[in-house]
Amino acid sequence: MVKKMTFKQFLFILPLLIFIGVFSIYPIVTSFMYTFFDYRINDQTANSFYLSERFNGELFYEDCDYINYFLDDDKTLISEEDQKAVEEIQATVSSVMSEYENAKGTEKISSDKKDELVAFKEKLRTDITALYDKYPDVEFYNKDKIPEILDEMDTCIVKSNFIGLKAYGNLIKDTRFWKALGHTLIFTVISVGIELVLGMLLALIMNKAMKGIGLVRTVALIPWAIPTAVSAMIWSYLYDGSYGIVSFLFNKLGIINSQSAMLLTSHGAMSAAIIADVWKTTPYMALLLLAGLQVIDRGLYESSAIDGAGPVVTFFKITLPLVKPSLLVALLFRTLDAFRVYDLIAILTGGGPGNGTESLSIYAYKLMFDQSNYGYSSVVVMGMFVVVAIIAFLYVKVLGADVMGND
Amino acid sequence: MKGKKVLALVMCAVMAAGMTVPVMAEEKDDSGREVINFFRADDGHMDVMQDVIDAFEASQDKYAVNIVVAPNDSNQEKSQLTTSFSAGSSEYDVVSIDTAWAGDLAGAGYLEALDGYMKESGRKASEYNKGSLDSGTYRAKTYALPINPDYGVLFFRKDIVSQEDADKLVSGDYTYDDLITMAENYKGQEGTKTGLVFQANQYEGLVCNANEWTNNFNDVKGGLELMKKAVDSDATPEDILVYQEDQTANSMVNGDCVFARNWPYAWALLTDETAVHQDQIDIAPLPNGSCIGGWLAAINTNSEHKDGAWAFLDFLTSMDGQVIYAAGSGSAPGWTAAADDEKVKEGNKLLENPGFIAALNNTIARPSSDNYQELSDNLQITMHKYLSGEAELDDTVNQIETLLDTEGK
Amino acid sequence: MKKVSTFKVVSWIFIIAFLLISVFPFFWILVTSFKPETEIFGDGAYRIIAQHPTLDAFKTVIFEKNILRAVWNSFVMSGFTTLYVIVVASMSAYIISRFKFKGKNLLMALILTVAMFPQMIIIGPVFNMYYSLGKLNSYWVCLAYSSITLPSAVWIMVAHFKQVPLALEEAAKIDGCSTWGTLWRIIFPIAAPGVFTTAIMTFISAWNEYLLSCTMNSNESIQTVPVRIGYLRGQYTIYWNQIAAAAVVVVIPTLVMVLLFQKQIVAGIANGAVKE
Repeated sequence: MVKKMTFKQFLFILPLLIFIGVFSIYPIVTSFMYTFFDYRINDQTANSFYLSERFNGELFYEDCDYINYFLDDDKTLISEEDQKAVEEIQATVSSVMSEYENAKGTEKISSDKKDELVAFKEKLRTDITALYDKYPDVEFYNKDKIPEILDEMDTCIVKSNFIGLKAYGNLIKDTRFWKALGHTLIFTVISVGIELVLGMLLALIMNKAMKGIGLVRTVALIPWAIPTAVSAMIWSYLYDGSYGIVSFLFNKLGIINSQSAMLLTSHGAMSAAIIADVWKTTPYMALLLLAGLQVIDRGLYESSAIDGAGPVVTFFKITLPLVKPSLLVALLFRTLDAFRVYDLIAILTGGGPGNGTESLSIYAYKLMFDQSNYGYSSVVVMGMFVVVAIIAFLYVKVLGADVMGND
Repeated sequence: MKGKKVLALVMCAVMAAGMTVPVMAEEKDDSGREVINFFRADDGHMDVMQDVIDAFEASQDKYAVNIVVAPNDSNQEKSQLTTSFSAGSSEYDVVSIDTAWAGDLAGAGYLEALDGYMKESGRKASEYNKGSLDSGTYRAKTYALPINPDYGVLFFRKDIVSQEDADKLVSGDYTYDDLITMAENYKGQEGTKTGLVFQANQYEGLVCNANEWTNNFNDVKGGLELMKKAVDSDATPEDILVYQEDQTANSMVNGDCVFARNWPYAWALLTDETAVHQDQIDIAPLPNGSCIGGWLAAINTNSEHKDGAWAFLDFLTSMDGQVIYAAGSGSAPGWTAAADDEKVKEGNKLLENPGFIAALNNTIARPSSDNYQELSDNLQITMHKYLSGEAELDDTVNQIETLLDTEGK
Repeated sequence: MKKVSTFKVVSWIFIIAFLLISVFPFFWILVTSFKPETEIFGDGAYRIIAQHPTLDAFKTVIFEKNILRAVWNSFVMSGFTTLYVIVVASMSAYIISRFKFKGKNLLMALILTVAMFPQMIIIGPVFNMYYSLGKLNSYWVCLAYSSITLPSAVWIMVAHFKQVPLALEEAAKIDGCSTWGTLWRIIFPIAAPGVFTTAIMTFISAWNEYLLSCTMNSNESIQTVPVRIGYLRGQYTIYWNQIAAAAVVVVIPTLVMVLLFQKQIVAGIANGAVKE
């Protein structure tokens, strides 16, 4: 019955390929490239991809300009004769720098040119130091500043930041990565597990044509319709150690020893995050499973009832096998989502206490946006990908691959 | 079926209408002035910032300023800025940045070095608040000038604390150990539930607080030991380890604590309607000096309106702008001379408070590093682990010393 | 008969518990939204009805912070995303579930693979793309939402389309229906429950989207709800009552929309049953 695809039908999947290509694959491949470089955008020697040695003419020009500018101030404090010497230095600097006046970013550099510039810089350092040393008693404005500028000039010669697979080696030795992986796995397994059980129950109930089920379905969507960024903030108010209603109730019910204990230990904070996640995403699970349940032929239930099977047997014999494709999809995508948890934990605990709740996404996010270390952050993301890929593979193997479309 | 088609049509029409809404940054305003885009978070004083802008626009006729409101969540603000900068975007001309980011952004080559402009306009480094200006300096070049410097101060209940202790506090002649003892003694009076609150959550604020307790990380061991003593003692709330500024301020405003370490902004939260009023609170400097924070202004190196950007930045950070901003917002001015201005004194009563002045005159910067964010992140984790009892003091101290040696400068 | 009724009782207890737990945080938000700032912490924190109830938070959020504009933007962005995702996903899901071709497994695996990456790594490259096209701060950014919504949509739709009996299509073929016609006139209506589920899920994923929207649509006039709500805090302070009020304002239109769609979902189920 299944027919071969023709060109006309290929056109049907073309839009999908374009979307995935432009908005997913292209960025992912770009990030993959980052992993082979020591790519840190807060460092001018590592903020691009250099396979060979290059020269940052723009920065060089600026630094030379600063040398002259600082010398301008300081030469007023010395003898006329030395002032002449300083002016000579300044003139040399001006002539060397003039070549780079309109330089933008980095450019290729020949080794001769490089040697010439290094020699120029060293001479500059010796000359200027000699001049300052001549006047040990004078308080110059910029005596400490000029060496800093000269140091910065060193960075104008940009070495290759290609590091190959080195970053992956570092990842394996990175204990923070493994700990974060542990937290992420705990969070994912527990929250998805609870959501699956609750979601299945909910879906089974919603599938019965009962009165008022429309209301149930609508209300179940409330938690989900509040953006995560907002619901995480709301939960942090509910968990507040002094005035939070949830922590207050939990304390009264004896679940926690004191109202403030909720976010204080890694276990407490992790549980808090899991509760908030279950609250928010159980409806998602339920809705996905419900859609699967609705397609099951009702006749099957009737014949099962006639055979005298109880609801539990019916569930395992009939419902579960038939809902398997939807179940697999729901589990897969919930797991992928939970594995990438960011906003919720970031807002509730920021990864604390003592980094006891830091998830992989939080670690990667901190590396990328706080520390501007795009290279290593991408490596962490790739590590994350490998783990998720293994989980997804296991799911598909265990639950059967029929969703893939192999009839 | 029909209903669905109509729905789809309506949706399409709505989308089509939506897509065409032009949201473009203007290059010129109605009267032909160049528009400078200023990226700044709404700290609650946007109206005052608008006054500064109005004054700037009235002072010349070449440039107009448009505020692009940044998110207040500083992580978000930083990532938005970095993404924009790394794309080489010129959408923002002047950006307001946190003191802690200046080195990072300057090192990345995103900010315009300002010394040349300052020289042309005759500005001298000594005219700005020193601590704040230092944090905007990277490798001897000035990249950012102070808008509103911030300092840590100690708020205390003067209706509870004895005159003798109050004098001691205001003079700054006390230690953290004294503070813990006092907090234990006074706790419970006038309905207070706790003695001392400060910021000990795992975030940037912890570094600021630790910077103060450890005397600028010179006495890591002693400082951390005291901090742990405070955390463990009955004088602080049980969940002090999740306290940020917000919890601290709430505790003070609701009359739950006797002592609160916070930034001066918390003063304005005390009103006639709150449980505690301004006349019940006084301010003291911190024993080892106050950690500096606050906001700086810098120019995007890709800006297409650099002259205009400097004209505005200079107006904002020098006398004219600072008088308007400090008087209106109640913050300390970054242009030192503005503190003596009558209008500023009128607008900011704190500038006549001896404890506040003492704090202002003894500020300490956070540890400097080529990659401050990474250092700070590692410090936060190490210290929070120790404070929550999951690591030993000696190991922690060793780790911190190593971090400061390898990542600090 | 007795068995059935125990099942019903258990179900109802479960449902009521579930509803209470689901609604409780929202209920508390509602309560908080009417409180003045002084009653959010301190002695007033556990009071259900504020001592001095006030609409100030709502006024600020609606009139000063322009939350309604953000709600509108969110609707446009999410609505448009849902529309194109459903069209693109149905087209491909139909082909994947009905036709044989080389690399089908590979394609499904690829779609799954791209869904495994966290969103943050696509931000940089996508931002650069929009920047160079000059399309930052526009509704075009919703096309980038495909990276978070399209993979799951395709997978869910494939699972549902596969459950539609082939016999119906054969009949349509004989009646002279083209592939395009068969998809929209036969498969699409029968798989309606699945389609609507996918639509709702796509809509809500887009509705929740934060990172892309925050970096690419930073301009106030085009901010979406999650981003706008992030602005309801000071540098150090969080205005809980305003956040609560905003959350209420945001949830209400969503609920109305779900109620509207509710009918469609039920209709879809009925349709399917009749045709089967």
